[in-house]
Amino acid sequence: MTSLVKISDHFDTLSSRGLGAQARAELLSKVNEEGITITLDFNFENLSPSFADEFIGIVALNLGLVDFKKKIKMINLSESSKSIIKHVINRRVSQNKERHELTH
Amino acid sequence: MDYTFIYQVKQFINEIEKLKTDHRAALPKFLKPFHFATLAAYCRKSNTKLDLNHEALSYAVRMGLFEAIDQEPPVTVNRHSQNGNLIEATAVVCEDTIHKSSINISEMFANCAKDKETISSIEIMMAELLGNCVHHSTDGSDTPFGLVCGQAWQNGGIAQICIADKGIGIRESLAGNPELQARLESSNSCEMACEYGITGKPLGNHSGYGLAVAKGLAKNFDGKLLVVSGHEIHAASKNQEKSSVMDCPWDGTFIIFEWNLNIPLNVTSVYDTFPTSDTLSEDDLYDIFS
Repeated sequence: MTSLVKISDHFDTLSSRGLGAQARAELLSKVNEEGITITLDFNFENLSPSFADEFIGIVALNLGLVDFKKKIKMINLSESSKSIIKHVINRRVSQNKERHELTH
Repeated sequence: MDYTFIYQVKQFINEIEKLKTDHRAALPKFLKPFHFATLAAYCRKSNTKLDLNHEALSYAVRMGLFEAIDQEPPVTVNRHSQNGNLIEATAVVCEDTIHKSSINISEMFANCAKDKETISSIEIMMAELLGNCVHHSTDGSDTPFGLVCGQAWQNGGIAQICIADKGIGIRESLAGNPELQARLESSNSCEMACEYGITGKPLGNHSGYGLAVAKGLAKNFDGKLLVVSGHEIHAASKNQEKSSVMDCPWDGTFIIFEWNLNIPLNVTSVYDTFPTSDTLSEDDLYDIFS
């Protein structure tokens, strides 16, 4: 089952860590429903690096990249938003891998 | 028209310092947003009446400077003739308002910006910088307060935005991160704060995106960034970076961002310069967008 979430219906603007954390909490509660795939529609709104990091970066960190790609799809993103989302996922997932390797 | 030089900032901070003892300061004939923002932030913090005896008084009233620091404007002027060149002075007091402010500020430049990407880049940069301002503009003993204003000079081909606060300052903020303490002893904190990944929050939970984005835009697109805090100042432009020390301190932080109106800004190119880890490859991420 796929659930479409229009981000701009939930948030006026996509900036700040505070709002990113709210968005993350809402998304993670949905993701935990069994067998659901979520499509996030960004409606080409600008998102700030802090929002992207706190929202998408930490969700990718929590789920792991394989599950993130299985469970979450993202549509209607500007080139700048795609670029920062790739960056925050790379940063968070890599950081986690590096820490994991250090402790094992 | 020239961008702002370090010596001009130093001269003006010296003048503001004189307000403490002489209760008057000599203003330059041509005032830019950074003059207004710092002067107003100083007056608000020191509970001093802003008595602007200058030919730019009506301009200051038109930009809403007095209202932004809760003072009565001394004269009445028509505030509807700004032609999109003036960014009204806006108080930055909480995170809830910065999102709207960053959009409003970027849209105010719509008349003189070359394209939508420039507007988006300004909006994204402002969201980050105003967020920093809210978080660092108080030591917890009072409510956050920052002031942002700006102007575009279409004939001169440049624009300036300034964000000023009287908060804890960059050095104290970065000192909150134990990983930075050794480096802070020998480095200019304003210069450090402009680097990607430098943040006062320990354990890598934040990334210090705001000033890294602003510096990237300034360097990649022929603009200029000046960061001033305490006794320290750092300037970054296309071909040059320079750090310096000031005799008189600015108790807080202010940031001046200037750019060439004839060169579009593109934040994506700045993101592309951010360091990435080799742990993940481009192939790992190619299919994350539908």
